[in-house]
Amino acid sequence: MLFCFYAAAIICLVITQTVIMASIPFFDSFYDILIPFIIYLGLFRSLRESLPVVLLCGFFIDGLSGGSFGLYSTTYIWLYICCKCVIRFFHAENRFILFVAVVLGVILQNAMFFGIFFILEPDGRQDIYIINFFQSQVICAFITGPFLLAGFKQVFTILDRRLYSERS
Amino acid sequence: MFSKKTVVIIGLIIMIVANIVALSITSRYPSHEYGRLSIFIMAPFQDAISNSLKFLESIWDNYFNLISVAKENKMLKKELSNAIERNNFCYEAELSNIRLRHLLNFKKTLTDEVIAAEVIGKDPSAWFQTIIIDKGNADGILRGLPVVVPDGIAGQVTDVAAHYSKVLLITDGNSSVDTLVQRTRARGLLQGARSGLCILKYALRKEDVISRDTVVTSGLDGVFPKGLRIGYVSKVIKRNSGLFQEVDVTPYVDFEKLEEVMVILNKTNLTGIETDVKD
Repeated sequence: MLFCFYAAAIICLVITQTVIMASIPFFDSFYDILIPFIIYLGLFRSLRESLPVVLLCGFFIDGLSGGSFGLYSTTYIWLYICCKCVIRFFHAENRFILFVAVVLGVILQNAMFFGIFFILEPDGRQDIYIINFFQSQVICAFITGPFLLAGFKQVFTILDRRLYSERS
Repeated sequence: MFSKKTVVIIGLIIMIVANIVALSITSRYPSHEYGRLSIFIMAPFQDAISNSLKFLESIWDNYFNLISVAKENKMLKKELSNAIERNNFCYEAELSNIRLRHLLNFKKTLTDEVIAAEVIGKDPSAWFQTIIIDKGNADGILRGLPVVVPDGIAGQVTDVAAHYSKVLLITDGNSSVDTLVQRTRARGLLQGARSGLCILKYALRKEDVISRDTVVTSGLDGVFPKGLRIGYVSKVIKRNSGLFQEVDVTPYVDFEKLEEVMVILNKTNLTGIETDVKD
């Protein structure tokens, strides 16, 4: 059941990102909605359960994206590592962390993209469009990020309850 | 010998360096078996959802917009909503007829064999400009084939699965097209600028290029046929020094509204493309 749930979740998130959000003009500059999902997995789920999911998310998005293969996997894995490091020092339920986690995730992803583009194409032109895009992503993450995290938490609570009742 | 902190720092540095090396290797090979597998798994879902969305959109356009009209005209509600619904349906059919005729006329102007395809998905991020189309290997699509629309060229096929393909748009930073300025035949390399615009690189300073000049394909890249429209020059900067001038080009194609595209299947001229892209 857990496997089916994760497969469905990945497909839904990838389709939402590449088809549904792409067809709505407002969501053109929305952030990567897999970020809150990866953050949730990093903060609340075990390594054995969540790491394959993180790798699969990266694999699918890399395949559909025009960037170098592995770019999204890289950002997701580092984001995941950061989350695992954070929960060594802070409690995962800390409200402040939940409030800023998605914003920090979006900043980390964009910073990694900037850094990787700078290393791979030092003479590439990064114009004002990317800055505006980054700004709107951060604003969207600030407004909607905590709600998405709370949503994932709610869904996983229901899932855990069902799994527990199945086992017992 | 080393403290735990040192080991962690060295481990992190090794991971970062390995990561950068791996990415620089994969960036040289735009197409991967893994990428194709991902398209093979995800594209049918994208296709289904994309069609459902279009269906819902047509319901929204044809029916729900009429509800307020129907309320105001209770007496004629049934007749009126039926009439407008039918009218809207005809209008939609007419619009799609015009669009497809336009495509057909364009197809006649091309001497090459072409195949029409529908856009079913877009790139997950605005950092890259790619689309997924509903035609693949089974329809004769090969990696490297040019993709065009009546307004101009759209991009190039970079990944092909059985029934779906990924197209790198000309506005992507990784895209390059050999071009000519139509009026003066000044040559340059058109590269995407990630902002919906393109940059004409390596156009010599001595060449006469002005705003509103049309830029067309030169055919010298062996990918796009010669003479296809790309865009118009929107800005020219000639600095006091340097060999080249800076030229911004706005594509004629509105990539936000791309719904149908045509892939040129001129296999006789493009047999080398598949191997070129692999290399």
